[in-house]
This record gives sequence, C-alpha cells and structure tokens, in this order.
Amino acid sequence: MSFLQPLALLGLGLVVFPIIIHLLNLLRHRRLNWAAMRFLIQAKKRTSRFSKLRHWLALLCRALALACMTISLARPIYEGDQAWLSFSTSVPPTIVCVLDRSASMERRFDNSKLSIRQEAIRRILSHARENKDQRVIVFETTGSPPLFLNDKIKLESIEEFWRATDTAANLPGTLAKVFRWLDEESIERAQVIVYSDMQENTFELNKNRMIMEGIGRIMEQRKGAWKMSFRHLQPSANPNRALFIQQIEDSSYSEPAVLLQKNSTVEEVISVKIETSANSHHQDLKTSSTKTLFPLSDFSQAVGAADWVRLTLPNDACLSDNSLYLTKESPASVSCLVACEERSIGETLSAAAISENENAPPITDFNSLDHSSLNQFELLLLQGPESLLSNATIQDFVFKGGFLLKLPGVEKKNLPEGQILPDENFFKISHWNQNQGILANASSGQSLPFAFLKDRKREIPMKG
Amino acid sequence: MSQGSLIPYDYIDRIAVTKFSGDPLTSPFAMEGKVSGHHRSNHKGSSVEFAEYREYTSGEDPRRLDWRVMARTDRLYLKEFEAETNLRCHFGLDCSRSMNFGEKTSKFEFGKRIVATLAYLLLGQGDAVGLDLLGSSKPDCMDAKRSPSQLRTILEILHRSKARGKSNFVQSIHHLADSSKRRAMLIIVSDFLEDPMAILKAIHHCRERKHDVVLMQVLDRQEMDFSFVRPTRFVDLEGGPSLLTDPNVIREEYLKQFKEHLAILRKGCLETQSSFFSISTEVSLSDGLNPFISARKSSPPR
Repeated sequence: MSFLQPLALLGLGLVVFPIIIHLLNLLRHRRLNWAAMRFLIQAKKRTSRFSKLRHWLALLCRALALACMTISLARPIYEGDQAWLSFSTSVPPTIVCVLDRSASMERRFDNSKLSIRQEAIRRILSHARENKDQRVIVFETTGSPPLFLNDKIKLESIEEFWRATDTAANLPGTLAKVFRWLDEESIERAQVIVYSDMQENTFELNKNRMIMEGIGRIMEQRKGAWKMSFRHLQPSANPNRALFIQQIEDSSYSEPAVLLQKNSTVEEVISVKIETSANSHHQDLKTSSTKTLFPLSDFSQAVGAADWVRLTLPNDACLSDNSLYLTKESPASVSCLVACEERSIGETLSAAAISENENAPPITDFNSLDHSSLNQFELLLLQGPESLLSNATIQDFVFKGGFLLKLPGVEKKNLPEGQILPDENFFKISHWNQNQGILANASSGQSLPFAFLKDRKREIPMKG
Repeated sequence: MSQGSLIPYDYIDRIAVTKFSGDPLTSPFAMEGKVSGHHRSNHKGSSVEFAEYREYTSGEDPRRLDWRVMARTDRLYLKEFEAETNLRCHFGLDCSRSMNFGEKTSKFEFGKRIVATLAYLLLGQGDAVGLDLLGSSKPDCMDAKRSPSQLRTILEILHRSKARGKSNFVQSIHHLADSSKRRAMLIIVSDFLEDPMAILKAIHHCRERKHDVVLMQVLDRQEMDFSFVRPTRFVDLEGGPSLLTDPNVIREEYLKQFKEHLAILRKGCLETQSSFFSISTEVSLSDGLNPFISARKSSPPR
C-alpha cells in the first residue's frame, strides 16, 4: 500500500488529542459534599468494570476515527505487487479499457436485458466513476482513436457512440495498437482491461500469432508496470437462432437457400415472419438440428411477385442475426462509380456497394469526373459539396438516365485536437426506407445490396 | 434565610400550623398518659365510649353496676367505658453530618422546622412533647412535658443545635426506645442513609417497647434524582473517602440502589406497623407534612 499524499500522514500526530482531552476531562471535575455515599460506592463497584471498558473504547474509537481520517486524506492505493506499506508518493496506473465491438457482442449478457456490449460499456464507465484519481482511456476494435473517459459522461450518450456493428473484431491488432500508444505516450504504469466475449474469431490466433507473441514480449519487458486482464463476458444461455443465405450446390443443381442455425438440437417449429412489399404473414419452419436449409422455393408462395422479402425470427438471445433481407436482383448488376471528396469515405461507399460476386466499384475524385468516365456507369455515388449538382457533367449523366446518390460533403472545421463534433455533424447513412428515395422503385429489376442498412444503421463515426 | 437571622419561633411554619391546627393528631395505638386527653388509653375510664361488661367482684363500687342487666339476668355486671388520655411524643432529630446536605435548604434545617411545627401542634392539643438530638456528640435529651414553656425550650435547643454528630445514629434510636419508660409516639426525623438493617433493628426495638414509631425521611432532590452531568468528586460529609466518578455512568445503578434502600425501609415499617414518610426539601412544609397529618387524622385504632 502506498499513498498519493504521504505528507498528510503527519496528521497521525492528531491521535494524541483525544488522549489529552480525555486526561484533561479527568482533571477538570467539580467537588461536591455528598451524603448518600453508600449508594455511590455500591453503584461504582457494580459499574466500574463496564465504565472503564466504555471509557477505553470511546478513547480508542476517537483515536481511530482521527487516524482513519488522516489516512484517507493521504489517499492510499494498494496494488498486489507493492510492499505492504510504502510511504513514497505513488502515481496511480492508467486504466486502458479495450472494447470488443464485434457483432457477437450484441448477444444478451447472461440473464440481463442488456447486450454484452452494453454491459461492457457500463463496466467501463464504472471505472471512470470509481477511479477519479486515475485516467481511463478506451480503445475499441473498429479502430477509432482512443477516447478519454471522465465521470461526467452519460451512459446513454456513450452507448449511442459505441453502438452495435456487424463487423468482426481484431483484438490482437487492437491490443498491439494499445501498447504502441502506451509506449508513445510514455505511460509508466498501466492496467489494460479487455472486455470481450472471447470468441475464437476475435483472436484468430493462426493469423495473429506474430502479433500475440509481440504482445507477450512487451508484457515480459514491462512486467509489473503494464498489466493486462481479460473480462470474459458470457452470453446468455437462452436459445439463439440466426438466418443466413447459403447456396445449395449439387452436381447438376445450384440454388440459394435460407440457412436456419440455432444453438440447440431440440426439435421445434419456429414461426417466421415474412414481410414483402405487398403483405406480411407468418410461416412455420420445422427444425431438429443446429443447421437446417430451406430452399427459396419453400417461400415462393408467400413471396409471390414481390420485389423484396424480409424473413424475421422471433426474438431470442441475439436480435441482430434474426432478420434476412432478400431482393430480386437482375442477372446484370448495376455498374457503379464512386466519386468522393474524401478518399476514406469513398472506400467505405465502395465497400458498401459491392454486389455478390462483383468487385468493388471504382473510386475517383469528384474533381476529375468527365463524360467519358461517367458514360459506362448506371449509378453514381457522389459525395461532396452541394455545388456539384450544378456540374454540367453530372446533370448530363442524370438526364441520360443515370442514377445519382448524393451524399453530403465534409464540413471542414478547424477544431482543436480532442474536441468531438456534435452528433448532427457526423457523416451518417441512416435508416433507409424501401418505399422512399431513389432506390425505392425496383420495378426495373435493378436493385442495390443496401438492404441491410435498414437493420444495421452502419455509421462511420467521427471525421466524415 | 440564614440561621443567624432566625429567631427560634421562625422554625414553626405558620402556613402548616394554619392548615393543620383544626385536625387532631392521634395515634392508632393506645397510649399511657397522666391526664385526660384525645387519645385512646390502655385503661378503662369514664368517657362516653362503651368498652365492655365485666362481672362484679366483691369490694368494687356498687354504683358502677348495670342495674338493667341485673334485672334481666339476675346477675351482677359492671359496665366499663374507654378511658381517654394524653399522648407523650418524643421527637428524634438526626444530627449526623449527612444532614447538612442540601442545595437550597439543608436537610437538617428542614428537619428542625418539622420538629418545631409538629411540637407546636401537639402541645396545642394538650399532649406532652420531648426532644432527642440523635447522633449528637453532646446528647441533648429532654423529657416529654405538656407545659407551654416546653415549646420555647425545644425551639431554643433546635436553634443552637448543629449537624456535627459523630456518634452512631442507630445507637441513639435504641437509647431513645429505652429512655421512654411509658409507651409514646416516637417521631424520628432523618435521611435514614445508614444501613437499613440496623435501622429496622432499632425500629423493632422501639416497637417491642410499645412505642408508636414514625419515620420521617428528609431528602434533597439531588439525592433522589442524581441529575449530575459532569465528572464530579463526591466528598463524604461523614468523613469517609471521596469518590471521583462520571455521574452519567453510574446514575442508573445509583437510582437502583436508592430505590432498593427505600423499599427495604418501607417494607420493614409495614411489618412493624410503623409509619414511613419521605419528604423532599424542595416542597413546602405544609405539603410535606400533609400525608402524615392525613394518616393520623383518619387512622383506625390498632
């Protein structure tokens, strides 16, 4: 145990004050001539043992209260590797929390109503509230910059900031980033706490063996100064089911099918909600194993001539994998071009616009758009300032029947380092309504794989 | 009012005298007096109160024969009546040093006023009154007399007496019991803080001598409540060792001891058909004596 303010321990000398007051009280008394000494002597005899004990206990309590107050003012901290008592000034370790934001963190935590991610965030915030003397920094697996927490941050706002993702996590890479940052910041003492559901694919040890070995070497070098602990957050044992699309391959036959996966082998009939552009109803699916394939033809009667269909399972331990959205896609997919102001946004848009078995759409700078480059594409994903809409090349592209999806440009502000923009300034693709907007009309047989945006609300945080 | 400015007659409480002068002070026991009075005698006499019939024996005065009984039964009977005599009252005032205690009025001064007032009332109804200073180093004992000058003598003795006694208070009660040859009323005014068993033994002795015993305990409010707060060194008025203690710690046990002591005295008095009255010095004398006067006014003969 050591102290942040060891000088305050000098206050332990105050312990003598109750003793002095006690002695002074004994000296300061009144004298009284008294007649009924008989009762006094008897009463004193009977209570003397108890009264002495009470006196000493009161004195001890007063002295202990002062000692406790002094020690608390000295702000003691205890760490397992330190000597039992040390009077040297100590710096509290920096707490670095690593948050796994993989899709599997959306499963329910144990028996609570919270997801594992929400529980992890709650625990991370509790570090900030309980350890006001220590810095609490959070890294998370989507690669955003480290965030410094304080006790004033509200749970709701931080949950909104670290909302659910549909990506996998790369914990070894994130940990390597953490230790690199610790080294760059010259932090002497740190406690790294990893909040994860510890899925195998979160670590991918085969791929990340080198990184993990590097982390091991760092931990060995910084033994005692940097510590790492893992908080394994167990998912709920409640039933969990998921829907995927999978191709049934045979020598003479190939058909896409709906794969219903579950974590039990109990035979059961699951009522699946089928929503189409025309109607909505339920269909029972019988399953008896962990994986059951249902050919799309099973749903043809329910789907009919609808342009899109969404299958939804009843609520279970993880809500994020309960929906499957399917659209009819023409054999020839849409040819798409991404023109953007920021290269990083362009890459994201390009990744989002990848069709099945297709390459990512090309990315170009919006300044270099010309007729020749546009004529070969049917859809233009344009990100940049509003003034671009008056660009003759783009107007010509639209007049000729091309589709244009305009996304706002980056509002450049010279913000000081560390300041966070308000929510409304984030670049965000939010809720997509299949009945509105340029992608609503799919009667032409053309569609884009943006359907999942409705469910996932993919957001690119921070700098748009 | 300091003792120096007092004259002997100031010990008589005028309010109490006014209040109680109409009420006869009687004893529940038969008394042996020399003259006729208000009290029941152990002898037969010539009052109007019928006592009993007794068979006539030769030589007795034939005028006392009940002729009606003789006419009906043809036998000789004497009709006897209760005799009424005066009372001999001995006051015993405790002069031990413990009686000096008192916040406003000392217990000793309060006791003097009790003795003076009751002596005035008893002499007023023709009873004989005497005084003993119990536990005094200079025994000041005077026989019971019914002459009016007796009051002045008693008051002068009270005036010059001081609570500086060193001798045994209980022993003085034994002496008082023996010194009264005839049965009498013994009114003992004290704080009775001695050993209760010794006090009860002395009362038994008095009762064996056929005396009517009245214990008047005079106490200060502080002794009854023990309402001290700060640590205090209690110095024994009787010259014993002093004691430093925190009253808050021992209050409960003190009051328990005090109540037990009173309970023993009350029980002992009940067993010996004696009277016990506890009076606080903070009340007026008329209020303090009221229970005693009421009991004596209405007490049935025993």
